[in-house]
Amino acid sequence: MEESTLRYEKIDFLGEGQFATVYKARDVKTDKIVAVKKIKIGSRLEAQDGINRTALREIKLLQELQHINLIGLLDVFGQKSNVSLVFDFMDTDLEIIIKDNNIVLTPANVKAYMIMTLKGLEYLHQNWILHRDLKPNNLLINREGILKIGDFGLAKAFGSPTRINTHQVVTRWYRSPELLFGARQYGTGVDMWAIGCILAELLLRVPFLPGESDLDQLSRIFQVFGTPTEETWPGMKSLTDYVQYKQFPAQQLRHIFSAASDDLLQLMESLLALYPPRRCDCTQALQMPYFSNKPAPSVGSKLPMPSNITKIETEKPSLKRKLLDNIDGGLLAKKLQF
Amino acid sequence: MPYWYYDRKDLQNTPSFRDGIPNDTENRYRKEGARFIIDTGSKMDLGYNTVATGVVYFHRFYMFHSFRTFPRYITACCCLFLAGKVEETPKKCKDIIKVAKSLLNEHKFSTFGEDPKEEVMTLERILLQTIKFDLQVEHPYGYLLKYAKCLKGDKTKLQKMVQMAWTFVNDSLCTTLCLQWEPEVIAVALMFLAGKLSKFEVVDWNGRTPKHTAWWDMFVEDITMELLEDICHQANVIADSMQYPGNASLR
Repeated sequence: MEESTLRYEKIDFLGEGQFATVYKARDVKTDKIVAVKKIKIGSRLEAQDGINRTALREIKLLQELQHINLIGLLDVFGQKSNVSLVFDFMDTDLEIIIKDNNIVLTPANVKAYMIMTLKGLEYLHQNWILHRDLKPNNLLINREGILKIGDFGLAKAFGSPTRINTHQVVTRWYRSPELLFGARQYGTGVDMWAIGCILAELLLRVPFLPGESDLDQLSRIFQVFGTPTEETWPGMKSLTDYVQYKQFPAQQLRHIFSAASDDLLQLMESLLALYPPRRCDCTQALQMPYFSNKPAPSVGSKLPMPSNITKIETEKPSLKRKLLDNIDGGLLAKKLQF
Repeated sequence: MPYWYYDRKDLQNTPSFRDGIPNDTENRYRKEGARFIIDTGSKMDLGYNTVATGVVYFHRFYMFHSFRTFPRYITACCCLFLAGKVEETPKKCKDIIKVAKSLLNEHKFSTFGEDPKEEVMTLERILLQTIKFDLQVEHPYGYLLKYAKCLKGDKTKLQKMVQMAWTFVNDSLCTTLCLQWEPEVIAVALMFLAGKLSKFEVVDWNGRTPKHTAWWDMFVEDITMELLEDICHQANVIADSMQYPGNASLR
C-alpha cells in the first residue's frame, strides 16, 4: 500500500467538502493527471464506527459502473486512518461554463451537453441507480469536451429519513415537485426533473427556479407550469408534505425561452412534467426529435472552455522542461500524504 | 479490478501454509471462521446476502495473510462488520462484539485483545486494503432463483430442489469454492446436485434451443460434467461433515 501513496504526486489543492478534501495529482506510473479525493474519517463524529458508509457507497457504486459519461474511479487506497479515491481529473464543470460570461453557448453546444448527460444518466438508471443530486456543478467536463456525471457520495444519503440534513446539503433548485412534497417513493423522475432544470439553465445562463425555501421552490414551479390539480396529478394531496397552493395558470415555455427551438421546448416540457409518471425517461428523451434534428451536437473539441483552462493547456509542461527538471534535480515534487 | 479466483496450487500454497500451518488445519480454520460469521449474522438477524459477503471477504483475506498473524474469530467479526455496512444492513461494532463474546469461549475471545472494538477498527483498514476495496460481491443465491424460474416441471418438486440447493450454497460458504468459481457456476453445480438428490430431473425449460443439451447451457457456457462433479464433491464433503442446526436459520 505504501506504493499507492508514492504513486500520486500532489500538484494542487482543488477543494474541500463536507466529507473530503480533493487534490490534483500526477500518477507517476502513467503520468496521467488525476483527482485524489481524501475521505475524512478522522473526525470524531464519523470515526464512531469505522469507515464512513457514504465513502463505501461511492466506492461500491463507482467500481461497478463504467461509462464514458460517468466519472471514472481509477484507484482506491488507504493509509492509517484515511481512505483516498482516485478519479479522472476533470478540468471544469457545467456551472463554471454557464456562469462564464465570456463563453457563448450555441444550440449545438447545449445539445452536446444534453446528450452526454442523458447517456450517462441512462446508463445509471439501467443499473438501477438514482443520482439524486444532479446539478450543473456535478456535471464535470474535461478539456477534450467530454462531460462526466460526478459526485455519487450523496446519492443514497439524499433519500434517507434524516431530511433536515439533506435539505441543507442538496441544492433545492433542481429538486422535483414530488420530492418537495415529501414523496417517499420516487424514481428516475427526480433525476429527469433536474436535467430539465439544467437544460433551462443552459439557455437562461442563470438558475431557472432559484427558490429561497422549499415552499418558495414549489411556488416558483407552479408559477411556470400552473398549479397541479388532483386531475393532472392523481394522488398529489396524499403526499406527506402536501400543502395547498394558490391556483397559478400555466405559462407558455416559448415565452420564457423565446430563442429556443420547438423541438427543444418539446424535450423540456417532457422533462419538466409535474406529474412524475408523465415525465420522460432518458431513453425516451434521447429518441425525441430534438436530438436527430439539426443542428448536430458540437463535437468535444468544439465545446467552449473557460479561458484559464486553455491557458493551462498552452503552458502544459513540455517534454523539454521535464528533462531539464531531471537534470538539475528539478523541483522537488511535493508528496501527498494521504 | 482485482481477480479473485485461484487454482488448486494457489489454494495449497497459501500464506498460512508458508507460515507452517498444514492445509487441513487451514481448511478447518476457514470453516470455523465462516461458520462463526454465519452464526453471528443469524443471531443479529442479518440477511443471507450480508453474511455471504462477509464470508467471501474472510476467504479472500486469508489469501494474503496467515491465520497465525490474524486470529480467525476477530477477522470474522471484522468481515461481518464491513459487510453490514456495504450491504446497507449496518450493525454497530460493539454489538457485533457483544454477540461474538456470547458465542465464543473465554479462550477464543481472548484473541480479541484488551480493546476489542479498537482491534476490529484497526483490522477494518487492513481488510479494506487486502480486499483492494473491491466491496461488491455476488453470490450464488440470486442465480439459483433465476435458474429456477426457467425450469419446467412439478412445482413442489422444483421448490424442494431449490430449497435443497439453497442449503448447499449456505454450506458451500465454509469451503473455498468462492475462491475457485464464479457464483453462476457454483449455482449451476449445486442446483444440479440438488436435482440428483431430490430425484428431480429437469427435462424441459423456458428458452430451450436445439443447441442445449442441459438447462445450464442456457446460462453458463462450457460447463463439463467433471467440473460439476468436482464442485459437488467439494460442497458435499462439508455438508456431510456438518449436520449443523444453524443451517436452517440462514434462509
